[in-house]
Amino acid sequence: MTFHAPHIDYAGLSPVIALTAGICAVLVGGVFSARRQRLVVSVLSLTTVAVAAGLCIWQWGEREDLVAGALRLDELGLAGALIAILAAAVVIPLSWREPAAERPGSEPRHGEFQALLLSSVLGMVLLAQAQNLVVLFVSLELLSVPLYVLCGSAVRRTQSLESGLKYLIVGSLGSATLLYGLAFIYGGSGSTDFTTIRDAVGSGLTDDPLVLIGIALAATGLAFKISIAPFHQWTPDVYEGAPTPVTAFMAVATKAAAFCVFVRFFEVALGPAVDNWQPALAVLAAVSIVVGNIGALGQSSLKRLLGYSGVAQAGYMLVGIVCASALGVNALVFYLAAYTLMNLAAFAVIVVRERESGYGDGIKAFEGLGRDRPDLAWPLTIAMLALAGLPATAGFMGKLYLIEAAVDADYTWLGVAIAIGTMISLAYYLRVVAAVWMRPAAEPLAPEGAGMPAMAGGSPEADPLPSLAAATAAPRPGTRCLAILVPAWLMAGATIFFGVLPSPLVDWASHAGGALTPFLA
Amino acid sequence: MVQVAFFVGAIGATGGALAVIALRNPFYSVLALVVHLVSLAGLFLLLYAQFVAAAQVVVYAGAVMVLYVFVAAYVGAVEEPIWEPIPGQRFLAPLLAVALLVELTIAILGTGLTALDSEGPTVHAGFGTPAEIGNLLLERFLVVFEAASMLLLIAAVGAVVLAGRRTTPPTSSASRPGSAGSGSEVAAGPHAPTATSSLAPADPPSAAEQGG
Amino acid sequence: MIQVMLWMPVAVGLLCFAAPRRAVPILAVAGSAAVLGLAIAVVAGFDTAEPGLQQTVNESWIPDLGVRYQLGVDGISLFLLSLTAVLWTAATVFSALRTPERRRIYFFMLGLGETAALGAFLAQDLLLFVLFFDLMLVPFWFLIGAFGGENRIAATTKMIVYTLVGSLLMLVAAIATAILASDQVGHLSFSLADLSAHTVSTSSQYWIFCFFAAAFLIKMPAVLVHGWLPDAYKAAPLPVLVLLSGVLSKVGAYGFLRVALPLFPQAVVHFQELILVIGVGGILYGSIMAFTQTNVRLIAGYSSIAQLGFITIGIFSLRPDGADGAVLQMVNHGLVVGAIFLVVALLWERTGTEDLVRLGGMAFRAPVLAALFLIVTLATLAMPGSANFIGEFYILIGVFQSKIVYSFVAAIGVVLAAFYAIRLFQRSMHNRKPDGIASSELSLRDVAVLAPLVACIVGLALYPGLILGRSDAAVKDKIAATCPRLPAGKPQPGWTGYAPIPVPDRCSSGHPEISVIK
Repeated sequence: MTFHAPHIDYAGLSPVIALTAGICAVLVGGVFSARRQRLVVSVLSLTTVAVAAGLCIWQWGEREDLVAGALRLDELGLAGALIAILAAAVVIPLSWREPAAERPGSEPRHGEFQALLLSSVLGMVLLAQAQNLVVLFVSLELLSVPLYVLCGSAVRRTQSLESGLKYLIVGSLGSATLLYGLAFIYGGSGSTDFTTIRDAVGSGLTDDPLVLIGIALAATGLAFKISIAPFHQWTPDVYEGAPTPVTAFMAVATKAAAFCVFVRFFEVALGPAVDNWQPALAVLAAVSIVVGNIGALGQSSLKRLLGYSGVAQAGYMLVGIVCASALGVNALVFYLAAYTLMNLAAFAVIVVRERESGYGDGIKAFEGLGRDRPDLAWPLTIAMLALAGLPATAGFMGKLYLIEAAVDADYTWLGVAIAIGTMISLAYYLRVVAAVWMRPAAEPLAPEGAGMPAMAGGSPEADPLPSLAAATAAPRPGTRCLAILVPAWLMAGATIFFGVLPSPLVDWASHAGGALTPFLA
Repeated sequence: MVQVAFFVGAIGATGGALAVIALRNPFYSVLALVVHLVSLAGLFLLLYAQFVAAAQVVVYAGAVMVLYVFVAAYVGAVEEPIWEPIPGQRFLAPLLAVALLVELTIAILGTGLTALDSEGPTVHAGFGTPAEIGNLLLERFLVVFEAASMLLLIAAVGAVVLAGRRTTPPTSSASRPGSAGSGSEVAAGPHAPTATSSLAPADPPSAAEQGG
Repeated sequence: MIQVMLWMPVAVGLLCFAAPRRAVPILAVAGSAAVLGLAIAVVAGFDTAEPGLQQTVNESWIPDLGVRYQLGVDGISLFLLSLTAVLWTAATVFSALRTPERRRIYFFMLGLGETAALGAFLAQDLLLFVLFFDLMLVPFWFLIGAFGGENRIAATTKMIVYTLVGSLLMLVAAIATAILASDQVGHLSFSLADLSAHTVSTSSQYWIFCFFAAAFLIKMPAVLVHGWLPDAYKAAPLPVLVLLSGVLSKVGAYGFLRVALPLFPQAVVHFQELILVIGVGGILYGSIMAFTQTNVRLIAGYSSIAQLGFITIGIFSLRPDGADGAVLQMVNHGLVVGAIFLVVALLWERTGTEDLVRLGGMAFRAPVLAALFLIVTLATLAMPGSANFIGEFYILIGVFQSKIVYSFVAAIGVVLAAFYAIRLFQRSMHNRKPDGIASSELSLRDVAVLAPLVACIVGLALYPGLILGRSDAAVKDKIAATCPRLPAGKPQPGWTGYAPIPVPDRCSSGHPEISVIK
């Protein structure tokens, strides 16, 4: 038996390598103490994401298989990677004052926090490029495991722990379902490579019951990850409980990466069986749109609201996959990018308000914001209007693109479903904007709550009092949140920019769709 | 001979799995799980997967089960209700399980049975050996191998993040919890300490409390 | 030039954020006046004989989606643009005189709204039209929600949900139209010219038309889908209401002419009766409701439903006369209703009430206000000699030629209009003056806002040919699509045997002039 080392194209693999090296560096950066740690670690991780993003852009346009066909370097994968990296770059500053990372009264943990974040990004980059069932599964786990930990990382808040545990259990269930499905598909096709599976499925396996079960289970598993109804029940709870920066990251980046692999797996590997999965996914998309939008109607916590809205938005995006056309993939990638911009803007504002008002992320915290804090009100307003799909925002263009793809693929009824979902969604998005601009500010709560969200007592015998000390030490509202405001404004500005001049983003997205063209009808 | 081995393994695996959920004493359940895992290892052997079989025995039946036994002994017997306590799921869950069973049966009858008379796939010599697997890991699945190592590293970091004990100044450990729950401590339910310390096993009393 | 006109309001609105606080109203007024100047220049430079588009702009915008940035003016949109500019100037000046709190966002939203309204009238690309159509909602939602009266949030949300129900379906329908037509056009195109040259199959036209019609009817609003109107009208600040009722309602009617008729001719013919019934229903319902209400805003609001009913049946008579009248009536109604709401605002300032029961006697000390209001009232009830009379007359002629029954029913509406308009005037201006209400004359600044509007009304009454002469060619062009039998420019006698009157010049002559109004 001889060993043939696979050819490794280091240039193509460079974003992955950069991220891996960065994670190690950031972990080591955790040895610094107190304030210096945050600085060192943040510089390291922001450098890492900048380098990784730069390398992704450098590799843009290359199309080849990497490392014995495990990864596929193409624009779709790089698009997913860039979205995940963008999300991380925004979330790092958001996490600076996060109690989960600060843990008042003891050693700060920015090193671990950001290393976990980056390793999740690494998983996303791998996932978006995965072209092999095994890579798909392992990178999905690499994506998820740090998120389970991050969700529960505010260990002194019961909700956070609950969120972490819930995500762990549901996520594991999803992973297990996915793995079961992948096993069936491997059993049917005899290969783990997407292209080989495509050939095998194409040559007479399209109606094979084992493969069909595999497809169904794999779709279910992935639907858990991107929170498609009816596999969405965890979403609002986990979103609400997790530390807000983590929620922001999870909401956008996970979706982007999982959608990239979803589209690659279904359009490439399972492309020949399109007639079998297309109607099923169409129904899932419609159900998701309805359930998500109706679920969001009654929410008063903004994070829960965005969780449900994420379910609905995932439904919209799934339409792009259902279309099984290059136009559909383009629309999906465009929408993912737009969704990332608008959600990050919204979450950034939530992070600030959550810390300076006593109402947490409740809608009351945002009342009267337009009068008191227009610098926060505008990004939130733009984000909400964009999520609602009003014109002159990237959200409108995204919906336009998706509806066009749906109609083009003879799924006009899904286009109508998107329109109806959007109508329902207006009721809750506009409720937020109305609170911001049209209501007087809510009475501020007791001053103790001002610096931070209410924190659970933790184990009192282990760390008493420090939370109080930290709360009083925390800066007064609005003084030092420039690191959050700048990204929020950038995201909101980009949302408007791509709403008015969508062509650059459309071109970008159509490259991604072009990468799959050989496999699409 | 192969058939006999297969049926022994199959019956052992199925019986073990059934026993895990049927037995009421968790200790017995763990032992049944060991039977199940060992039987599975036997089935793996029949499939020429020596390495997987060995790993199964060493890792699962060996290491993981020891942990299980330890936890079962530590936590003690728990009275679990026979019936699912959530009313909606009581009927829905069996329904879905039956649906899945029917689905799988159809799939197996539709596809799997056709392979019954065949000899199965032909495998080359050396299939399933550690050397072969090592080769695969370093050739075709190099990325996966590296990603998995990263995953393990991150899992370790995550465990530290969640379970790491805080270094507390010794002076403050005497004072009472949060000075009578001021504003920032309001949300602290009585469960908070339990939940925290369940992730920090250095706190035996509350871990036991969680179990009970 | 139209590009500058289109983007100037929103640019000025953005400047408001940078300008010092005191300069904001001045800046906004200057911006809207500049737009008005540009609009007048566009009218002056308009070539009357040309039925097609003028001043076109055609740039690539999103090539992958087939959306182009196409603008243009024709006889139909010409005066709606002017109406928009006039009313926006009036509303801006009126607001600037009573500077609202949070003025920056107020004037920004006004500017954004003007851009959106102008954009809807200028767009020659179906998707661009839909975009501006939807965009209009955002500023109005804000203006009503943030600056309105009681119950404003519920009212404004109701309005936006109602209107978006229609317009989102319209978005799907627009995309479907383009994609269905793309086989014939050869590439994906939303250009109205391409789409009207290659209409989609009749069966697709039916459902697509229904989606479009829903959007337009809700926007107007027509009866049955007018549920948002009472709340929104009660809650809206009055300068905003001027625009809402004067301009936004016209976008729906304009949409029928611009989009529905040329793109879905078979469907238009198929659904003609249905829309006529809705229109006539609107006339009767609106008139009767206007007569029974005591809230001044609602009287004007319901009268809008009635007037838009007239406009609708004028368009759906599918005769050039009817549609000509509809275009004229759109402008008339915009001016008139704008003036009414401004008067209502002045009344409210003087009396603190909008309830007819508690109003009265205003004319004692305010003869100028009363005189101006009288002109407006007489125009509302379509007194012969007013442009409204000519508009309604043409509409009725058009309907008479195609569906005679509806014209008889619609004529009742003309009578009812007299009831509610005179009641409105009488109860507010005459009668005994209730206690606690001061009657005071208009200030010079308010005259400066109101008088030009009234002057426009009088001017149109004197010379409606200004509009009719320019819109006629374009209107015939649109109508011709629905009636292949009726070649453009040559109206044929209807089955009643009445030969239609030749359109261009005679519309202004033959009526008693301003003397009636005086």
